[in-house]
Amino acid sequence: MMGGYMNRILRIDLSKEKIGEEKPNKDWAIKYIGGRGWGARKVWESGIDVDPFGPDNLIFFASGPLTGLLVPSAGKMTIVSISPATRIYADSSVGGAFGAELKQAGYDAIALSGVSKKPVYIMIDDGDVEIRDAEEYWGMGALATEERLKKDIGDNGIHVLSIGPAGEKLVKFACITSDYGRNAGRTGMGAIMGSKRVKAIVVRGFKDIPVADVDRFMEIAYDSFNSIYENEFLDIWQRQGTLQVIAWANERGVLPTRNFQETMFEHAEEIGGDKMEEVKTTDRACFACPMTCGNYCVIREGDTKVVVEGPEYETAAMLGSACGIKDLKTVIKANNLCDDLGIDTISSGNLVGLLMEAYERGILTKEDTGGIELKFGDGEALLKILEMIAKREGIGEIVAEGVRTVTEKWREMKPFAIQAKGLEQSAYDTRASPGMALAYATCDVGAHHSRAWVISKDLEMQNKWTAEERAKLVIYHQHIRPLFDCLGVCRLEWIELSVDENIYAEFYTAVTGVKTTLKKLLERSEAIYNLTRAINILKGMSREDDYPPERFFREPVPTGPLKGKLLQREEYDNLLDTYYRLRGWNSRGVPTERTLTRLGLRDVALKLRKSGKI
Amino acid sequence: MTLKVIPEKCAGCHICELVCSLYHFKVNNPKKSRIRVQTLFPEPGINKPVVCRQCKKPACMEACPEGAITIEQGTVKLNPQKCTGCKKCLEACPFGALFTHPDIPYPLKCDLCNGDPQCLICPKGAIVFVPREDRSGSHRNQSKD
Repeated sequence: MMGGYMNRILRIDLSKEKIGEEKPNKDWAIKYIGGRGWGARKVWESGIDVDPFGPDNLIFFASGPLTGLLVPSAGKMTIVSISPATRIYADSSVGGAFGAELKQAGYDAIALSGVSKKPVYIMIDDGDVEIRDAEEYWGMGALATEERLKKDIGDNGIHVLSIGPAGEKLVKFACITSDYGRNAGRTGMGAIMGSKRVKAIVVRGFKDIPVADVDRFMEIAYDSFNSIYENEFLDIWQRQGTLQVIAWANERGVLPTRNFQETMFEHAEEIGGDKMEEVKTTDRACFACPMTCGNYCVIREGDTKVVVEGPEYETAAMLGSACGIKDLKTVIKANNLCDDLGIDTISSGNLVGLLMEAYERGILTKEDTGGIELKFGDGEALLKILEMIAKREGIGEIVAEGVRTVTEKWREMKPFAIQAKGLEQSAYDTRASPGMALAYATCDVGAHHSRAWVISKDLEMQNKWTAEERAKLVIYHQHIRPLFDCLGVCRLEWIELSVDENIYAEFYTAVTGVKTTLKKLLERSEAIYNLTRAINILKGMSREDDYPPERFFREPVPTGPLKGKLLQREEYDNLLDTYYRLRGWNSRGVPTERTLTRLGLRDVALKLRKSGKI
Repeated sequence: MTLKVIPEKCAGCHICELVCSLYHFKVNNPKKSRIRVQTLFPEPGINKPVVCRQCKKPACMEACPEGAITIEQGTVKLNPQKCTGCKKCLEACPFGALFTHPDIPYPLKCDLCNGDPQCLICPKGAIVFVPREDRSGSHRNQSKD
């Protein structure tokens, strides 16, 4: 077998309490690379016509061939399943060190199916696997669970994935937490774990991760680390991490403010990176990461101490400016609360912002909110409502179902719900950036920034580039950014610190012993994007689901440098057509037989044809 | 010369452990390294690298019944050929700076990589290589964990 892989997938059927394993064959492993690619294919193979919370829905946790090695930020793992929120393909990646430890324990990936009769946690101890009773942990917070498991197992060095009460209660944007504050946040992976009654997965391992050509590997590794050390932006990334983006987004006029009504926040400084540095006590890096973008913050109020890893940009924007919250203390408290309850800060902030606007417009009343004055900027109201959502109390029962259910219950909210495919949009306003609007709208998991991030270039170019150039960049991003999620490393060193993308192909070659180029890896990533698209098409998605939120076509940006901007429907129609054409998809957004065949996905084409989609 | 760690600067990335295991064993395996980073969260909320201080009067050397630990030009070295794996040195070290791995029959102890410590790659400058007399005395107050 090749280097880089442990060559074993752990399989657990929770209904039968059966533990087994499988060895992926070499061609399959190469074709789907690892991480998100392996997960997408496994979910496809196990069957996508499933109830997300049923026993047949597979949840797949996968590292990549570079995870756990001396590669810049090689602690990444991706969790893949069919989402309960969007009911389509879903993945969410998580940093920290769980992925690295999983490989040291002897496994590349974990496939969970079935539903346990009672709450359990899974212990993976250097190749020995046990399903253990978790009755005493059920009901606990996600962070508290990690602390308790470390204590009970008697080893602070173990790594834990855990869910909070929100995951247990099947909140559709429940997340999975690891390493005290790293989250697989999006698409409700925590709810799937909860539906299977798995409170946590614990891992510990001592094994070597094989590398085909270790001398060459070390050369590349040292070169890449040295290039990072010379980068002028390393310092600000180490000091502020992603929170520095608040200032950038605000200056450009793309910072979601009061539920995406405005794009500049008058209190942006109060929730930004400089303010955070005042309460930061130490750095928290993911495995093998020289950027160390995680920040550990501590605040005190009287006798209470609140700690958090973060806040990240997305969290500070969505729980901060998008809810009109103007102080970092409240953002930190809300962040910690979300982490422990186990809900995604992005979806949560997006939804609370939506509710606040609805309340101010009189669509919601105190009767709906259980007496809470749910106004923008009210920190206490934010904290209270977050808890109600996670625990499904009062109005939280409906909000816990996600944006789709909320806008079905209160149809008047639909025009200002900022989402795509049923996933609440993350923290960029795209009214002045058709390219970023396209990126969100065609992201395979819903309105998430992880696939393509072209807003900076788009704002710079404005009308100076063609629809074709715009769509091409979105497509390139949609291939290269998820490639990092296949390889099992973080993309930030490439994006922010100028690590040459070709280095990752060199890493792959030295590690696996299988010669490759960036071009070939990108083609694999394109195949994976087409596979996830095919899953979504079979799950009922079509062209209409590739559109940005209504608000961005109707309401011009009210203030700031982008004042007056809004998306034009005709321009967007044309952009989407161009995007489909360049991808080799038909005008309904379905990959053609020719495209799928070119990418080695004949079986996928066959299924689409059988279902009458092509 | 000796290594000094500055826990306040450490981010807990484990890069020092990786380069250590690659240098000594040519493998990616932090569990085979001679330096370890403890990430202690939420309390006390710090990352803490632990590595041998190359003591002048090493407790590990005194405890070794085989004479496998000696001082060579200021570096405290462990001779795997003489070591029987009794682990008395591990128990004796007040800093917990010797480590074991299930596949390796002798304790793992920092040897300063023949004068070129690889862990100085630390992206935060949390590990420095200093003359022994420059190392601050504050370690005496640090607990064994």
